Parts: sequence; C-alpha cells; structure tokens
Amino acid sequence: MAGVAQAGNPLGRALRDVRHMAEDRYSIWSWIATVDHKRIGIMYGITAFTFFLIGGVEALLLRIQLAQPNSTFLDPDQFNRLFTMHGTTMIFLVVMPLSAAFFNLVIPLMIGARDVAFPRLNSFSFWAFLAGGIFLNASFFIRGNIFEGDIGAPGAGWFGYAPLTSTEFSPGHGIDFWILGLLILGVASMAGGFNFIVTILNMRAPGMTLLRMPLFVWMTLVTSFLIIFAMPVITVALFELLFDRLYNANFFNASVGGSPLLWQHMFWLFGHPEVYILILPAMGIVSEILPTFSKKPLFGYPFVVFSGVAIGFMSWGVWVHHMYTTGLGTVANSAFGLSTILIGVPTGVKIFNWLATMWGGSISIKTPLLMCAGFVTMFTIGGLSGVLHTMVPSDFQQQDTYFVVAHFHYVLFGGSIFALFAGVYYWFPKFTGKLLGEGLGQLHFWLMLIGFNLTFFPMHISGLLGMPRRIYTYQEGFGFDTLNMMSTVGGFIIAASMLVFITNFISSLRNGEKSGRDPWDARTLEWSLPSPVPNYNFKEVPVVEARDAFWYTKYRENEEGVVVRIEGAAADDEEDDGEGGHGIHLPSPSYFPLIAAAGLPIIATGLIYDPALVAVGVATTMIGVFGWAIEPPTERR
Amino acid sequence: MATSTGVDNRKLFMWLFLASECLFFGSLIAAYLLYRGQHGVPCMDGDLSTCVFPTDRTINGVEYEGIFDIPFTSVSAFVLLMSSVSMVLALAAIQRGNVRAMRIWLFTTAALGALFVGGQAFEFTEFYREGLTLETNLFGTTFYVLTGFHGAHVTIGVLVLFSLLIWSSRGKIQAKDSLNIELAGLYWHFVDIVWIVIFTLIYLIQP
Amino acid sequence: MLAIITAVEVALYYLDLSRNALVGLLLALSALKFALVVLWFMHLRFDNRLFSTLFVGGIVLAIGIFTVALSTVGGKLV
Repeated sequence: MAGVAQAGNPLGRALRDVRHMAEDRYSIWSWIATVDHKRIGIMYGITAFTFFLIGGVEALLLRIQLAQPNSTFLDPDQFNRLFTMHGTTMIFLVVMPLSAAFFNLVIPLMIGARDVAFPRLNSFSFWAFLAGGIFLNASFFIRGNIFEGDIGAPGAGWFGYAPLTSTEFSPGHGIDFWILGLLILGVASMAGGFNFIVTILNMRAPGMTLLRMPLFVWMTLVTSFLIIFAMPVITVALFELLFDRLYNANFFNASVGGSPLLWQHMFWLFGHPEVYILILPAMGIVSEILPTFSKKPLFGYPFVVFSGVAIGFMSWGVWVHHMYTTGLGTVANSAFGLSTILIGVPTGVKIFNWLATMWGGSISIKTPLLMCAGFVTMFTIGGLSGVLHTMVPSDFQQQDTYFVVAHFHYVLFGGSIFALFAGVYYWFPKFTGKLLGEGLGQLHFWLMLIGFNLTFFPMHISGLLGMPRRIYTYQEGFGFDTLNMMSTVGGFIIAASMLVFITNFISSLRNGEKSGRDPWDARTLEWSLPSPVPNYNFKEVPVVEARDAFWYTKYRENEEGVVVRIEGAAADDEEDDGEGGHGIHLPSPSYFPLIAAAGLPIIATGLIYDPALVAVGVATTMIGVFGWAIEPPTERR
Repeated sequence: MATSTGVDNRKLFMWLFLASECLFFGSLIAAYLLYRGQHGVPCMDGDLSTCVFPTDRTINGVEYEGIFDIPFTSVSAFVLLMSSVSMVLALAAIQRGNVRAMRIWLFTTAALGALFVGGQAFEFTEFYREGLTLETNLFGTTFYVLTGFHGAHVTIGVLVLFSLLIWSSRGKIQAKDSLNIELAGLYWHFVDIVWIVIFTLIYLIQP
Repeated sequence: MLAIITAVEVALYYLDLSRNALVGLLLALSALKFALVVLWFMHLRFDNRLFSTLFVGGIVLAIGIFTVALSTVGGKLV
C-alpha cells in the first residue's frame, strides 16, 4: 500500500517529505498534522478557551451597556449583534468543544485504548471546528470598520427565530455567516460524535465491560448519541433558512403560507437535546472527581449511569417547553409540562448520588473538588428555577425576562463551566506532568463563585420584576438600576477570576510542582500512565478486572474487610522517556483532514459572495477526502 | 482487528451514519408533509390558473393538469431499485473473489444511479419550464429541496462507486477488501429506501 | 419481487380506489419494499443486532418526534 509515497513520483515524494517533517515531535508541523488524540484534545481546549475569552468580552460589553439606565454605550443594533454572538459562541464554540477537548484527552485513556477509532477523522473534527469558529467570527468584519462601530455579526439571537432571520428583517450577510458557520460546526460535532461512539463501543480494553466504564465515558457515549441524532435536525433547518435567504425559497415565508413555527419546532427539537449535550459531559466529569476526592466509590453507580441514559432518551420529549407561549394549545403544553417535570427526576437522582458520594467520605479540599461542589450547588439552583419554568402559567410570566437568563446561566455557567474548570484542574497534571497551583486555583474558584452569583442571582429578581431580556436598555425608576449594576460588577469579578486562572496556568506550566503519575490517588486507568502520557498511551493494553480499574490494582480488602493499599502497587517508579514504544504501530500524521476541513469555509464564503469560490472549496475538500482515502493510515517502516 | 463488540469499526460507523441520516431525511420529509396540500391556494399572483399542481385536480369545476409524470418517475424509481440489486450482486461477486464480475456489477450500479440522476435533472428542467421554481410556492420549495438533497446523495454515491471502480482497476480491491464494497452498498441501499419513501409519499399519495 | 411491488403500486395509483384505501395500501406496500431492502440487501436480518437497534432507533425517533411536532401545528402525516 505504498500509494502516494511511491519513489519516482515527485508529488508523492513531496508529500512524503512533508509527512516526515511532521514526525519531528517538536516541529509545528507535528501539531498541524497530528492525529494523536491527546494533542487534538489540547488544541481543542486552547481554541475553545480563546473563544471563551472572546465570548466573555462580548458579555462584558453587554454588561457595561446595561450597568446604568438609558445608557448609550452601545446602540440597539450593536447590542443585538453582540448578544447573538455571545450566546452562539458560548454554546457552539466554548462549552461543546471544551467537552470535546476532554473527550479527546481522556476517553481513550479511560477505556485502555491507544487512540480513538478514527484518528484522522478526529483531526478533521478539530480543523472543521476551528474553521467554523473563525468563519462565524469573521462576520464581525463584513460591514466596514469594526472600530467605528460597524459590527457585521448576526443579530437575531442564538435561536434565530423566523421570520426575524429573513432577508427582510435581517438584511446584510450576518445571518448567512451564522447559518453557514453553524453548518460547518455541525459537521465537526457529528464527525466527533460518530468517532466517539465507535471508540467507546469498540475500543475498550479486555474486561472493560459497559458497566465497568467510568461515568465520564458513559456520559460521553450518551452525549455522542444525542449529537448524531440532534445535529441532522438543525442541519436541515439551517439549510431551509439558507435556501430562504439566498434563493428566495418559502420555508418560513408566512406570506405564501410558510410557518415560522416549523423553525421553532426544528430548532428546539435540536435545541433541547443540545442542552443535555452541554451538561452531560459536565456531569460525567463531576462523577469522576467527587469519588476521587472523597476516597469512596461513586454512590449508586448503576443509578447514575441509567439516569444519564434516561436523560438522553427523555431529552427528546420535552422540546415544546421552549414554545409554551406560541399557542400550540393546552394539550401540547400540558403534555410537555408533564414530561419536563419527569426529566427532573433522573437529574435529581444524580444530585442525590453525588451528595451521597461525598457523605462520610474522607474529603480532601482541593480546587477540583471545590469546583465540583460549586457545580452541584449552582446547578441545583439552576435546576430548581428550571422546575418553575415547567409550570405553564408560571412560564408565561417568566418568558423572555431576565429570570430565564438567570436560569440558563446557572445551569450552563454554574453547571457546565464550573465542571469543565474542575476537569482542567483535575487532568492538567496528566498531560503536562505538573500540578496547577493550589493557592491561585482556590482564589480562582472563590472569585468565580462570588462573581458568578453577583452577576446572575440579581437577574432572578430583575426578571421577576419584569425586565425583558434582549432589550438594549431600560428606564430609571423600575427598580432595575441597582440589580443591573450588581450584575455588571459581578461580570468584571468573573473576568478577574479568569486572569487569575490564566496566570496560574502559565506559571504552573513553566515551574509548577511535579505531579508524578497519580497525584490524586485516583481511580481510573489514565492515572496508571506516566505524566505526561507517552504518545502510544499504554505500553501493554491493560486487562480490566473491576469498576474503578486503577483503584482495584492499588487497594484490596484484607481478611477483616478493611480496604488496604497493596504493597508496591502502581509505584511511581520510572519516568517514561517517551522512547520505549518503538515497536508500537501508531497512525501516521496526515495533512489531508486539514485540507478537507479547509474547503468548508471556502464553500461557505462562496455561497454568500461568489459561486466560483464554491468550486474552489469543493475541489479543496475533494482533494482532502481522496488523499485521505488513498493515503495508508500507518506508514510501514 | 478485534473489537470489543466484535463488529468492524467502519461498519459500525456506517450504520451510525445511516441512523443519523434517518433524522436528516425525516426532517426534510416533515417539512414537506407539513406544507403538502397548501401549495395550490396562495399562488404568487392569486390567479389559480397559473398555479402548478403536482397531481391532476378539479377546482370549481375547472380541470387542472398536474405536472407529475407518474409513468416516467415510476421508471426512475424502478431504475434505482434495480441498481440496488446489482449492488448486491457486486458484493456477492467480490466475496467469492470474482473481481471481474464485481467490476461489471459496480459499473452497472453506477450507471443506473447516473441514469436516475439524469432522470431527475430532466424532471427538474421540465417542471422549471412549466413555471415551478423554488420560489413559486410551498410545493416548489419543499419538493425541490427534498428531492434535491436525495439527488445529491445519489450523486455522491455514484462518485463513490466510480472511485471504487478506478481503485479496483489498479488491483486494489480483492476478496479481503470486500468491506469497502459492503460499506458503499449500505449507503447505496439506504439512498434507495429513502426514495421508496419519497416516491410513495410525494408522487403516489395525492394530497 | 421489488419490481412487482412497484408495478402494483403504480397500478393502484391508476385504479379508482377511495383515498383512504389507496393511502393504506400504498403505505403498506412501500413499507414492505423498505423492509425487503433493509433486511436482505443490507443484511440486517443476518447481521449483528447492534446495527438493527441503531437503525430502527433512528427511524423510530424520527417518526416519533415529527409525528408529535406536526400534530401540534395541525399538519397531517399523509
């Protein structure tokens, strides 16, 4: 299978040379062409964190505008575009890819695999995500000088309700960038979803039965299924909107009988599973960290697994609770109100299991545990305000107020972001060999917790007082003034906490304390490996004998039923020099996934501006795909 | 390579992809079904005589001729069905190690697929000449987008089949590589069953 | 076999049946064709149960959610 690398073929030789450049572990090409899940995970993490900062700056601009009544810091149009980009960024460019970063980093390690099932597809996912993210943000620059306030981004909300997104009400190309950007991001997520389902089902080490898998692996599996089933629905909806906008189709054109409700149905058919795509990985992370820092196995493992699966199924039956006020009728509203109350049950089961895991444990209060505790409390508050929304009459009152904004920030920030930071503090040593500073870590946590609550708790009250969301300003004397000032101050405290985190991250990376293999006395297989993990992961594929596989090799019950450490088990002996794995066949680096992904934004730009570019983009993607198909996955030496 | 479930990675991937595609076509079909039967009423200029109907009908005693050509599309549907049969034969051939027979059947499949796409292009042109465009009304919008996405799937399938043919002409596909053909076949059959649904729902069942 | 069913379907279209009978028959016949292709051509009948679970899951999910969605906005399935 020499394929392209045949001698005498100049193109083939050039390709082989460029491939060899990528085999030098320290060259930039080795990152660009990498198919190593750990490197892809790191790139996902850094990219998504960068978008997090961008989305955060957008949020701060919104908060400055809202700090005082009748402010003119932003005009209404700029405000619309900024909150649209803030929401879209935080959901599609931050929480989803940060979760994907952890899928990449730890899933193969947790199940005892050398890589994911399709390493090049994995690299394609990352590059398509990056391409989609850049494309979406490029929309800021399409309307003129951004520094004079001509912001070109989409301005119809992250949900893009019809008919607001029609060319009549949203002229310019902002919405087109939004549609095509989300389509590219959808391709990236779906490729990742397929990859991780196959990886988790097929690549488990011997003995790693489904009910021995760590909780994070389970939640990744459920999330991936939600992705592959939910993304096609939004893909079709976005295509329909695209046809409406670019080619005057009539899907959502009410003047010839089109129904804006079709958009809402399709959007929320995707949107509600999406909510669980955002939170289930976070729940998985928490379910790994709490047992480790409580020195106890997860309480009621099968219940936590099955409630996660149950949430996955039920997430398909609750979407109409986003549409109570659209007049679908009493029957629909009541039925979906009921199903929404029911989905709270498995969520509640999980919360009680986490509490029971900590109960009576010998808890070590480190930053990862604090972040998880923050998750459990903040997510519970968000869950409870969510229960209020399930009641139709109550929801009628709260619809489109800041109460809703408070609710979903408590579940997405208080939930997902806290858990993702817990994951960063927990797994950082595994991939760098160094611990994140504990002092700065705790400072980060407390600042973030205080800033978060100061920002979003007052929104419950301003919302109940009737302050509408998505409105660029408010009048004096409605009782909103102090509450909004509090929110703005809180927003800046969150920003300060991020500076603390970045400082900690960089300084720990430079001269952090060495962590060794297993700094937390952890339970799952990744901690049995050297830190940082060598590129082949496992020298020998482990054989799994129990749940919490690594813990089982370290601790056993003695005759009296007391758990004791096995002498000499998992000693932190030799530091691996990365040279030990020469006999192991690893997939070769490849540029083709990048080429295939690079074609997508070219096609998208072409659809908006110039059909000729579409041809260029299609050709680029085809070259990538064909090269990918012809190139042997592993080059024989 | 041995896997935990015993099934091949790529085959599992393909089935997951097809399961996901069910939602894709499900969404497109749902949009068509939501708007079916509404297209005659709100014509662009309010004049019923300029409306385009998919099937023959009588309104206020006046007979209107629909634009669907059922015999033509039936033949198209039949062509696609037969291409599925030849796909099955191609797979059976390579599993027996008969590369020559596989190539013949692969070519037959690709040719029948291309014929189907050609038929669709002809049909679209005819409809366009009758005055039905994406903009005309809800029927035009949903019909072209749904059948167009299906046609795009067939086109990609034809490209894949021709690539496999070229690949096999360089001797790269032997009995041990039959999985490549099997995967292409799964995709091809899926595209075929989507047409079975579309043909029944759009062409045969009148609104 | 598939050809025969298609022929019958088209013939039915030209017969003067009541709409309900026609719709019922056509749906049943195309479901039959669908099943034939999936079970034999795609080998689902003989292959790993995992595949059929996934595929049927996708179909059931699609039919389920869109039946509910269309019924809330007054659409009809056929």
